[in-house]
Amino acid sequence: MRGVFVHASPLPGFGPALGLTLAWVSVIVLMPLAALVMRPWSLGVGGVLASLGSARVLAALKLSFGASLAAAALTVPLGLLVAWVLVRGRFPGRGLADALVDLPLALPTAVAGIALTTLYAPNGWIGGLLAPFGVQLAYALPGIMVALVFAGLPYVVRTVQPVLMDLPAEVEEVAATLGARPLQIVARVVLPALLPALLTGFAMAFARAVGEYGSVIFIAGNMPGLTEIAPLLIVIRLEQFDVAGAAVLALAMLALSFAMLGAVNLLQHYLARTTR
Amino acid sequence: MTARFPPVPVAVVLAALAVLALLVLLPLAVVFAEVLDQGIGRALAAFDDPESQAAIRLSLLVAGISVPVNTLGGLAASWCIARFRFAGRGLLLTFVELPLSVSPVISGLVWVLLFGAQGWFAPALDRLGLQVIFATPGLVLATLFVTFPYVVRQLVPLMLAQGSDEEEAALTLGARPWAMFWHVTLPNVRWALLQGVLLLNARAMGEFGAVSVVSGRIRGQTLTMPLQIEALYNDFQAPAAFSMAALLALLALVTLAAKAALEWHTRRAPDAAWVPA
Amino acid sequence: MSLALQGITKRFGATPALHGIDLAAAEGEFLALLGPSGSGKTTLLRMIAGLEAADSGRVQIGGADMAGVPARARGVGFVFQHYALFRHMTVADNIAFGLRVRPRARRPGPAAIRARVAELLALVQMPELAGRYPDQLSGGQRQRVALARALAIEPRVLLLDEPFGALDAEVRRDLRRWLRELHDRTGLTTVMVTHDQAEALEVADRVAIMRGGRVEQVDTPAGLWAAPASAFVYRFIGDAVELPCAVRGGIARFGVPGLPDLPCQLPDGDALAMLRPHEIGLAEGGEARVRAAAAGPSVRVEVQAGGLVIELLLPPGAVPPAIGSACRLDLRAARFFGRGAAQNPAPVAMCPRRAPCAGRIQGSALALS
Repeated sequence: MRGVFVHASPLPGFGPALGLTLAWVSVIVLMPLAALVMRPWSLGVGGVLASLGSARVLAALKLSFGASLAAAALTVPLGLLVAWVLVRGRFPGRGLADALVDLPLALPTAVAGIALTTLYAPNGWIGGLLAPFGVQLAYALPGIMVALVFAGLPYVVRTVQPVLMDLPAEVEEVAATLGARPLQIVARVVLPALLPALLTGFAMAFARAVGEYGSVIFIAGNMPGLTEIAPLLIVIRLEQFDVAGAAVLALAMLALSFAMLGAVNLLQHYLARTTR
Repeated sequence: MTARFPPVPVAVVLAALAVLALLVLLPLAVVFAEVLDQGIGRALAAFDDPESQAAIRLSLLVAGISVPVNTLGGLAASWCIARFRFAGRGLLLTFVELPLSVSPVISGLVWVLLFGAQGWFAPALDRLGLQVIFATPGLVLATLFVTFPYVVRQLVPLMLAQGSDEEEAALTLGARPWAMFWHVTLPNVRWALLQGVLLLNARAMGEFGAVSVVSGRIRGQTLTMPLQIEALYNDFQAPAAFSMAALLALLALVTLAAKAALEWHTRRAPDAAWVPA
Repeated sequence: MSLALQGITKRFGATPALHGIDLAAAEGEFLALLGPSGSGKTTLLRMIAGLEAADSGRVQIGGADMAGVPARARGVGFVFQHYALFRHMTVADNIAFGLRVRPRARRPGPAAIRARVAELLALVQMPELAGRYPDQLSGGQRQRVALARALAIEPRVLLLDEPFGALDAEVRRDLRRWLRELHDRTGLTTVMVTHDQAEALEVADRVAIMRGGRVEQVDTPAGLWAAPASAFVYRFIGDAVELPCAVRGGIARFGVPGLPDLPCQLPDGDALAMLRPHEIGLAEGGEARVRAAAAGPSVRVEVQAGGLVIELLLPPGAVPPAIGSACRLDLRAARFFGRGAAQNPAPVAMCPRRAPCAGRIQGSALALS
């Protein structure tokens, strides 16, 4: 054991704790993921490509990733607005509003799913308002977007909030003494400082949106090729006993997600370097 | 918080509140509105249904297993990661947090790949006559996967920030390992631990995607509360579905309230550390 | 109990931290480990406590080898730099901790524990704070609680890691004096790590000066003042004026107008003359110039001699010289250190007549505060 240490410690319990941890991680995380990585290849590379190449799959992937990107992009300014008001606003009920932000994280997705559907259905509180104008929200793309923004909002807010809170007031005060107007200070001093957090929030909201299932399937309509999200297609393939096919799609989703998150990560590093 | 900033314009505050109300508050309100619409009496009658009762029992059972297992595992992992430096530490932390980046459906799929009809362990399970998928063990495993990192995410940043001085002091004063854990380590992290457990529980009871895949949807047997809600809703029994949804929504509210109370108690800002993924 | 360290070496990864340290403290002695950051003194202290393991060498407490003995079994009291009080326990519970975690056989009863806690609180002069929590105490109070907690287990050796580092200067001075009295009362072998030379020289029986993982010199404070073994030690324990010179045939020449030649016993070659600011006298007329003069408790004068700027202290009450006035410097005592390994074993002191004094060195008045 000693050789594994970088630095020996007087604290006890490393051996047993590490042993327990490795067993726990291996059984619950590593083993299942290994199965996922390996299973698709039982079809052979050709089989994998065929499984991915169908129009239905491509439509589902396009929908999931496209809608998630758009929703995450939309969530960023909304989340920034909310975070800003929570940190710098002074109004009664601020604490309550702050606690409410976490609701999409704490609320079971099935509950959110049926609630959103009821809300935006043609006879719902909001759907009913827009129906006379011919705007359909539920069972269509807008409904999916709403559900994804709902799911992603806390990620942006909670990532931006601490950074906003820690921004030293002195920097903005200096800008004011140099003659900048409030909006200029926001645009030129504060927002650039928040950019890394906004990017992180975007990435997290995107990751959540791509995999989101419960909040979306009730409101989506689930029509193949149109409003069928990728996770649903995985479930459908499983129900058709196409286990390998389901695994192929799942692995493709994971790979695409990691690729996109990697890209965001690179962007963050680039930003960090150029703003030094 | 300082009062040094110029006040945020009222219009901006109202805009933000409108966003929150529209996006977050309304869905919550709808759930309770639907319940109140049907009247409390009829709403409560929905829980007389034996299938709904079975769903509640099953959710409690799954959470009742997931919470202790992932809490213990989380404590062990946090102890290793936060108090020692060793080769592969970063990798271990990455693996611990991995479930957060995985879609719930995939989190269920992986168990089908292992224990399902065509899975790795299918022959062994057949021989032993054990059923994992479409049975409670599968539900537990899927839930364990998705709730895996919650405790670690709460404890590791806190333990790193606190440092090990107090534990070393306890050692020099003659404390044996368990005395040190019990009297020094655990008390110092108890609020963060409690938060982690609360969030773990909320997620365990509310998980939908992952358990939906492994469940098989055998009514009265493998439906947890969220799955029961889906079943009722798709069966055009929306009122009953909303009754159960309201129950889970209440649990969510209680969890949020407890979390806010704990944060106030430890005087920490709501941070991104607990945000899954 | 006595303490002995033999041949202690330690590397952190590829970086050597300690190079074969030999050190000993007699029973009841107060030893200070003094040195700049990075000198390895805290690492050494932690090794005595068992919180770090040496790569090689031995730690002996009371003559017994501590190899393989874990921290909790060594019977050392350790006071951390940032106190490490148990934040969720009251002061009384903190102090009682070491007694409560003893195995049943050796654990005192609750009444005995309470009595001991009260006794220790009286010893550290904080009896009324028993029910407080650490975050309700000032830094100085926390430090005293940490000390009481360490003393509760009746340690054989007391170890203090920069105990006053995080406190105000005034609190430091008071606590320093109090610590010394405490030590005299308990008679415990104590090792204290500090980077504050005034503190070490005031409180300790002997001081070990450490640098870069090595012990430069171990001696009583008076001995360090009187006979510093190297330029580093000289510099570290007090303000120093350093004047490079060249030695030839027993004479050290500074090659700078305004400085006299001095006799020096070192072999020919480059050397460094070191003096205390108050060992330099000012005389009128000469090739040096007064650059600045400030009145105060002592008169501080800056003199430009050739390319050197030399700072000296005149006795209180002396008249500050006019700025720009010509002057020359009177070097009343100097220690010479050869460049490189050659050290001067018998430093030369100057009598006012600028000739080597016969017999013992007449050092200037030692300022131990």
